[in-house]
Amino acid sequence: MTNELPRIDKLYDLSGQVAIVTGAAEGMGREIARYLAAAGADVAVADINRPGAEQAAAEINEGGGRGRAYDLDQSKEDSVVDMVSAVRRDMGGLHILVNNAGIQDREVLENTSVALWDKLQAVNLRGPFLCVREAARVMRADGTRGRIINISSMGSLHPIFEGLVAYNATKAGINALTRNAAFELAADGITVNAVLPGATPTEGQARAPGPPVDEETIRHMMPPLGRAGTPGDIANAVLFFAAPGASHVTAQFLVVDGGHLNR
Amino acid sequence: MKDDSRNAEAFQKQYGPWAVIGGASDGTGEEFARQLAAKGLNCVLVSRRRPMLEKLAGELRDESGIETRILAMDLSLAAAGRQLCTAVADLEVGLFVANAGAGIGGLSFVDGSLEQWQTAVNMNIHTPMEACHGLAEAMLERGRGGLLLMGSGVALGGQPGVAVYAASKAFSLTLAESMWAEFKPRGVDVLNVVAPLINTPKLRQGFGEDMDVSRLPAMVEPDELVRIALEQLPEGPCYIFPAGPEEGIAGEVTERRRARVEAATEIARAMFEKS
Repeated sequence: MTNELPRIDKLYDLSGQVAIVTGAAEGMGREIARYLAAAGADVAVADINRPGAEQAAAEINEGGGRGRAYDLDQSKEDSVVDMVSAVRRDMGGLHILVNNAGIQDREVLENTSVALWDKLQAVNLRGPFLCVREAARVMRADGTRGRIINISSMGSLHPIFEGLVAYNATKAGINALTRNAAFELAADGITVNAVLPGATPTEGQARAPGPPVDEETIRHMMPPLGRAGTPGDIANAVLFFAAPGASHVTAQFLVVDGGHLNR
Repeated sequence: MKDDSRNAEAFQKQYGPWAVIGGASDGTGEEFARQLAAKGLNCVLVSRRRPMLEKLAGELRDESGIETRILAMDLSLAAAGRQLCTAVADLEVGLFVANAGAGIGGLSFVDGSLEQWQTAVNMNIHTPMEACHGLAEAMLERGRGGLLLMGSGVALGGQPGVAVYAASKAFSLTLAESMWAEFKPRGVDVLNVVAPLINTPKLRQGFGEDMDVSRLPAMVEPDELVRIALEQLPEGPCYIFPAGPEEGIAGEVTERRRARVEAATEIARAMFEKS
């Protein structure tokens, strides 16, 4: 029996690991990429916005981490296959996948077109499915006990405000994807978990097409903890699932909503 | 000796500096890797079984002083050909050997599940097609290179117990002949090796220990098969081994198929080329 205390720095050390963060050119993804880089991971910044991805990667490098930009349009199978294969080739493997990329086009139920529904399914659910599939192939083939972390939404569990029928249906799909993938991949030591952010203002969300969110709704959305979520709150939760200390945690949902759903 | 080095130089010029070998962990694929390494080509070794690839890569580096890259992946999965191409996109690939194959022998068409057949179709059709498509473009731009598709005598006609395998090999043979007609004039060689039974671990495993060899057509050893295949690669579009039903007529059938492709090329010109 030794009296040595657990090394917290080791429990969160991602040195020598390669992480992909999708949608990392801005917002939550960018912050997640920065957190993982800060923990020592080599980070592939994958985004449909190439200049944004380059800039996010450059920032990581300037900060003393290692980042590299990759093109990704996750609504296209070829693009996902190429990105994952290229990361494995360039960076020597794949240990962590963070499925963060998504869009939040809003529309009330009765005005939701098939086109909008299909677009959200393609980007927010089929895209992450493809990323999980490709990552799982690489991790299994390489014998990597990898980590997959999907960004879902608290709205997948409970409606928050109007206009998110199609969006939250994709996020509920992400939850099922998470648990089923976790079930299939457990034998290979690969964990799959989800982070469910509450209201977390980001650039992408502000830009999303749809009815404006009125003042009353914004007041209603203030969680019991008294402030809106930040990308850093989400990145911290992702880091927990990615870290060596969480190797026995799989198929879990971590809601980061300031207590919103607990009111 | 001098001739050998001149030959090796010419071989490297046409098919180097990198070869990609699908299904390289044992048997015919391993033998392709050994002979290509001996000719001075760097080898990308592709298969599901990483430990076997690592062992082979180490031996090739030690024996031939070439570079290697290991690519552990399952070539029977959807979009695997695409994954393969991206994984080697930073290399100058001059030769692709489509050797990985799924052979589900002895099962009647209805007794095998559709899932089994679809996996075989992925492995034998989709993946090599995607890989040839992805790798040929750069070869054509360079005006040199080679595509070598491992085929089988069953491509030449139906056979019970191997229906989907035979049909997939027929696809491979016809695809190779068509690519040959298109690529040969542009400097890229294409060959489908219409192989007999090859004495490999997979074959022995497939038939079981108690198989009665005397009832089978003659088997060829992997080293002999690979030597002949690489010799025939500049000729194309197919080389039929004299075995089984083709035993006495392989040369004639090979010639006839080539003549047919040449005649069909003329017809295609008349059909598709604007005067």
